[in-house]
Amino acid sequence: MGINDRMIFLTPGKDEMYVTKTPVEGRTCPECGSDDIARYPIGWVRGPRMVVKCQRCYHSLEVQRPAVEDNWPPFRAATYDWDASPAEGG
Amino acid sequence: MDKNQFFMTAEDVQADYGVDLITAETLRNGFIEATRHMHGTLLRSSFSNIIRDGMDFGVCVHLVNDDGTTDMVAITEGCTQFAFTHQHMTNMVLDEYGLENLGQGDTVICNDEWRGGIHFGDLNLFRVIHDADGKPAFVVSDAAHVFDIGGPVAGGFNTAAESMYEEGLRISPTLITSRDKPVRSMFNLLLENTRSPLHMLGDVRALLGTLRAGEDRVRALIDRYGIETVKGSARYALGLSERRMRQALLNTPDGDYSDEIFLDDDGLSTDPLKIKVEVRIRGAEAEIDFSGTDPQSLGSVKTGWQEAARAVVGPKVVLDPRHPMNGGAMRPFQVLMPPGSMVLSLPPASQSNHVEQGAKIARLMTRVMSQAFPEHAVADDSGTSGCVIMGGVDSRPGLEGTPYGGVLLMGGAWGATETSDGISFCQSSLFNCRSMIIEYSEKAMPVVIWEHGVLVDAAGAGEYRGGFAASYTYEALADAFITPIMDSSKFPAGGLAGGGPASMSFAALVRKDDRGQVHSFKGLLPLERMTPLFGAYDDEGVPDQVDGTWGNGTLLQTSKPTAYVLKAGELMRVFSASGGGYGDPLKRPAETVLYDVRNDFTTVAQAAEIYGVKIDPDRLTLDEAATASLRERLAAERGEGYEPALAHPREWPRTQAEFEAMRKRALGAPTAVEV
Ligand SMILES: [Zn+2]
Repeated sequence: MGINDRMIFLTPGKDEMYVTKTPVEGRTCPECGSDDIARYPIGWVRGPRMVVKCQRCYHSLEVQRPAVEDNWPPFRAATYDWDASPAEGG
Repeated sequence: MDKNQFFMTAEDVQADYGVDLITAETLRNGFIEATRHMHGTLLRSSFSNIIRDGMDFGVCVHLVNDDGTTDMVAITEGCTQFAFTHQHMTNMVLDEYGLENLGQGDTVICNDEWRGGIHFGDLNLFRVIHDADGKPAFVVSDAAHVFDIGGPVAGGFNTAAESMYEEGLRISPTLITSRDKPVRSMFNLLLENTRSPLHMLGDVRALLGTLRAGEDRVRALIDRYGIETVKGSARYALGLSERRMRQALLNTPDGDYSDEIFLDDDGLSTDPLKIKVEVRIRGAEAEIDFSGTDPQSLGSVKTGWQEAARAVVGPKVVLDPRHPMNGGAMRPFQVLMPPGSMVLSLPPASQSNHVEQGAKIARLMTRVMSQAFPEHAVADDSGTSGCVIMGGVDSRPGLEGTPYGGVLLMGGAWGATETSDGISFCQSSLFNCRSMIIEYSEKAMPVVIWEHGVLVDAAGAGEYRGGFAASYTYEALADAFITPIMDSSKFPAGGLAGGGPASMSFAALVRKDDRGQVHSFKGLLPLERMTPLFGAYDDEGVPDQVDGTWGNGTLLQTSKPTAYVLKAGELMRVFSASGGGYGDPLKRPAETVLYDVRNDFTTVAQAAEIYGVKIDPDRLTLDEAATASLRERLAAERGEGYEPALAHPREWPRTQAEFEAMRKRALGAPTAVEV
């Protein structure tokens, strides 16, 4: 992944914007029994997260910290995974 | 549905949080008291007028959880939005900087919108409080809008900015004190990138002192009650807010509630911008989905991460308005924001003028939650911050050559509810900053404020009418760069339950009369002294939002111009949008309408036309018989889907002579009589 990829973005060119919900196979909602489960990015009380959620009753099966490949939130500091220097308390 | 599912007994509190109820309540209030001390400290010691007078700041105490995340236990805000954003921002900033890298006396500063900040003009500071073992236990944070953060426009709010490079200095999480010593390099970076180093240094020192005051108060609680009791009580404070919000959601019918709202434009083109939301309430949880919203605009009215937090303002106002805010109230909500849209723009987009979208989000979310919970419904508010940024170089004796800057906050209006008229002169629920004290503004800046009043007939009609926003006339004493932030000039605040829409934003340049004075009466001025600046006017220059055309004969084609030059001796008059009404105006008690007429809120004409109340124009007395028959006739004449007309003044005087005659006639009648 290039240094620019999560720092500088092109201006989007669509008419309307939507959040993409990715279907999750092989899981069942413990609340309503539906197998219509999706995973998608959310803003949550403790910041950016991914939710695995029933699309019938909207029960949240899991709230996860985003993985690198989730690109969530879109912006991420280039140095996010670097060690802190001694001057920064490291 | 169990109406009491989330209620707690004293036994529950002891079992769940390990603290007896009385102590837990004492400490819940102790945290709030700590933030009140911080509030007082910042108010008394800051330099920028937008902080010490406008109260554009927030101060918070957060609990550190075992996994290193934080929860905002208490907040005392001047500006409401920080009560939502600092929950997110503290988590995002400390996650990136690393809580483990912060020792005693270390402070981190950040102003970044993509890390939970609001715009570059707000500085946010974070300081960790460690327990006796050196483990992070609490965080104190504060945020304040400093006057100037660099960039091409004094005071920021550069609506014309097409990228963040035109907005000012972007500060990623950076150390600003180390073991309580100022980090010189960071101070220099701030002081050398602002138009007023004096204000910047004063404000940053005030923010740092405020965090120390907060830490002192939290440490006093720990010393007296012990760390485990204080942490348990913090968890209780959060849990109580969460339970109240979940209970309110549970008492709201499950369903999908949606609406959309439009910003006038982005300040660069004249195209309206759509924000769409669907709120899916299921049990005690809610999903807030902004899918279907327009792509990010070129102009700077869009936002980065803010709406993930600010979207909860509407639910809070409608579902649990009375309980003190903390992070617990945000737990039931998940917010979906399409990347690249108005609500989640991508770098290098500018969010310099984020405020107008923020006001619209608060209005939109209040509207949608009002569908879900009509018992607490609130009609539309102004939907704008309704303020003017002013900056330049002073020329007053003794201040020649001194850069100055600040904001004139004149106040908007709230919508009406089922039980009361809307609040007048009050900003959107998202901001709720203080209307500026005129003498403070005139001391801080080379400006004379000639008028701060209401415009007659502007509030949305209803059994309960909307609040009145301010009309505001000011004169520049030195050439000034003026940036009015006055959206809602194209789309009015709507009424509810049969209430009517309110007057929209507009502005004009004003010339003084022959005596060198500016007099308005009921907010009306002679039109021959007004030159249309922005808003809707008819072909003869009469402000007319019903039959006139937006932009007709106006000097500007946006209500959010950037750095408009007001020369020394020139006057500008701005009218902020008012609030929507609630309920059928024919049901408003005739005596109340008479009171509004006698106090110059409503004209005799509007009283008859919209409220069906007949009032003698000379004696200002009520004709009860005529009122009864007029109300009967108006009710019978209404067609299907009747809505009261958009509130607006009907009687603009054209000339100074007409103005004097109108004033003389009205002053001959009794005014301001008690009901
Ligand atoms: Zn389910």
